Amino acid sequence: MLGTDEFGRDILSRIIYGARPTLTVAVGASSLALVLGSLAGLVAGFYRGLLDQVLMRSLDTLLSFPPILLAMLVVGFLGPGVRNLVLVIGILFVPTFARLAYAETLRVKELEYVAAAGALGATSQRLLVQHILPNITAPLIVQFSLAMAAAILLESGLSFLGLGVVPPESSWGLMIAGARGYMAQAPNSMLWPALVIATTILAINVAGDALRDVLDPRLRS
Amino acid sequence: MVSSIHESVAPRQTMPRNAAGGFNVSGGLLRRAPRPAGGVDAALPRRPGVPVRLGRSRRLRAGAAVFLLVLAAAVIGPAVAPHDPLEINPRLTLRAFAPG
Repeated sequence: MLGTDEFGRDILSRIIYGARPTLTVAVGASSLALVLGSLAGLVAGFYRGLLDQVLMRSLDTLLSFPPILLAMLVVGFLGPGVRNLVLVIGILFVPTFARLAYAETLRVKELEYVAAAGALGATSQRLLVQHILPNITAPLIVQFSLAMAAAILLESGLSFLGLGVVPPESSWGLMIAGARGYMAQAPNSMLWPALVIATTILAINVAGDALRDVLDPRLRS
Repeated sequence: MVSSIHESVAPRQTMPRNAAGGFNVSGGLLRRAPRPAGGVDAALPRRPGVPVRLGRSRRLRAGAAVFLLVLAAAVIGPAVAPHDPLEINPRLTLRAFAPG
């Protein structure tokens, strides 16, 4: 229906099948980053001291590398594939979540109810899990949705460069890479996957933005 | 020695009320605010909960709808795809968009 590519393969079928690795990478990498980043930010923000310095400076170092170059470097070592992409993109997004969780933990742990729980004898683990974590989840959920959009973009970019999903498996970035050589003769083979990537990222960003408007108390009128 | 605890407490003095149901304090009149029908909580403005506010957001619904469509394609893709994505057909290369 949407035409065929340079090998006569159906573009619509490849777009439908390509959604699976793309979403696997997006959801997997964002979840990995959410868990690791939140844990690092919570622990560093709550305990402070040397642990804070070591954790946050290590993550700052990771953040200083350009993401696509670091991803290319790591995938070059580990080899292409969906599992490695999840690992690489997940680790790349850890500092963003960690900094957010760190800042929120610093803010929340100074609030009166946390001090009251501490005065009543709550342990550090209880304070972290029962009192601080539930109150920093809203910005982390919003960040999760935005990280998913960024992960889709990064996965498509890496697949376009031949470092992501391995052919002949279909992926949206891989489809664009294949259609690049025939762009003048058959622009539709490049147009459809690009349109699907753009629409998906736009939808996730719009939903994430709306989620932030609802969940962030500072934005309420 | 007191025989019971009630005898040790002075009897409660009630302040005389005026005709409006208020109390006369230093010559002025403190009027009692009318009580709301459903109790004190009913008078407070109630903000809808997070699920309701999430459901009301049009942008969120639109974005989530597109995302769920892509998610559905990923999950049930093999069942709805019209052709095998790996099937090569040399006679049909670079065909254009053909609706229907």
